[in-house]
Amino acid sequence: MSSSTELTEKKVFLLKSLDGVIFEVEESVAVQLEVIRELIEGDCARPFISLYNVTSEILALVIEYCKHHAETCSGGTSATIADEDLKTFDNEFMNVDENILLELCSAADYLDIKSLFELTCRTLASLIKDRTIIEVRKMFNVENDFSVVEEKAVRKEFAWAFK
Amino acid sequence: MATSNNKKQMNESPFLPLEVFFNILLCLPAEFLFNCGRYVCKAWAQIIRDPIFIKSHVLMSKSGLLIQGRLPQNFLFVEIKDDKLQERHLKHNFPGMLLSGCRGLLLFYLPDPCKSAFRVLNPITMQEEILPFPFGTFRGDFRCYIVYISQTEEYKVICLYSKARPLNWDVWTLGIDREWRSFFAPTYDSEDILSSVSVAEVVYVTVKPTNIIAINLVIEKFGFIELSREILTLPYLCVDVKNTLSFLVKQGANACICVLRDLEKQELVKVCEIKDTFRGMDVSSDRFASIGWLENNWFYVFQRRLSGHLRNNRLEVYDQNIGKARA
Repeated sequence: MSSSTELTEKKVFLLKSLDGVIFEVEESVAVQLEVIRELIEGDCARPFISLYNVTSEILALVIEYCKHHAETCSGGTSATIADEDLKTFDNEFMNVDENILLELCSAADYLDIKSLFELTCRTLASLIKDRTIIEVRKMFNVENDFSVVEEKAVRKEFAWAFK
Repeated sequence: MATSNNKKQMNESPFLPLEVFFNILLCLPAEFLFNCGRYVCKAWAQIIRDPIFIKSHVLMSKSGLLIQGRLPQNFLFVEIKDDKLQERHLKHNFPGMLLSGCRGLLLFYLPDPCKSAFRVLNPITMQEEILPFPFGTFRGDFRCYIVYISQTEEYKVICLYSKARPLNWDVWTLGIDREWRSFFAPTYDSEDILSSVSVAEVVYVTVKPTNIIAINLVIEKFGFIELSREILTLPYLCVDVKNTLSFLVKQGANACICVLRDLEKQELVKVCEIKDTFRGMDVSSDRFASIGWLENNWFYVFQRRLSGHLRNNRLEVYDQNIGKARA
């Protein structure tokens, strides 16, 4: 009981991942997740918030990202230094395995974290920029659902463009 | 068992919802969308074809200039990257002579009467609209622009004829018109169009040095601008600076760019001066072409054909930061 009041005082929220791991986050971090902010405002954030689409591995990364962004923005440093710092952090943060990146992107979309979503989209775009059609399909795990006729039709439509 | 299942899940990329793909594709260059993106799967092709996507992509794209070389298939894309001017030769084979471009659409002219005349092309989706020749037996010169009307979200193509009596022009609204609509300015003969430019939704045409006809394509009406300034008796070209009618005025070896700040007061403001580049050059001849601005109007790009080197088109850029022009 006493611990619960303490939690309210510090404004800490509990997030539960898909695989049942519970993370404790401060309000400044939690509100960056638009989905959770809505829950907090609607007073539906107790006792903990279950996030059914995010694994603990990814949630830990998301929280790390939000924490850093919250701290940098609230710290007394000037805007330009904070900007530089966030840029460096973001660059390093994106230096992860492709699959992790895809899951981060999906999580950022689900949790509605605009800056992380844009960051992951940009990073994924720069990764696939120079890849072939087959490599792109493999990376995103999408199937070629064009029939031979359909694909020909797409090409033929603008045939002069390939001359 | 559970762990292996988990592992398997980790190795497989999660299936991303369409809106995620939409946002990833927005970050990719048009070349990728054209050569690769639209063949990945039907869902991707659908996104790339979607007018909302096209519009968002155009808004995201950074500014650059597409320049056609002497041969119709030579296209150069010039942009500023890391404060440096970069040029890229494009692989696409575009359908004719590039006349004008506006908010992601390009206007081409095909000088073959059997094959229609103008093509408006979206270089991202390669969608095009073909417009017929507006002029029956007309053999003179013409000027053509494509203009975006933000209020109605329409694109209009305007074609003006020089050596026409009276000065007349035709307008075509893309996706709506089935034929050209004709207009004319009764008291004006367009013996020679000295200079013309499209600035936002208005096309300006000069027939006499101190007289400019402004054609507003939103309301499709025209008016006259009288310029009494001495400065404009010198050879000049109408240019567009930050969506304001401006003039490139040549004075000896130098040229300056003046913005028409206030029409009523006839107030011209000099925004930059390009020194020692224009010796012996006639800006109103076809040896000189004003191409446009890059990166917040810090760079002004123009092209000139060197005398004695007919094959040699030189592209020059004036950098306002250092106040110099370079080739």
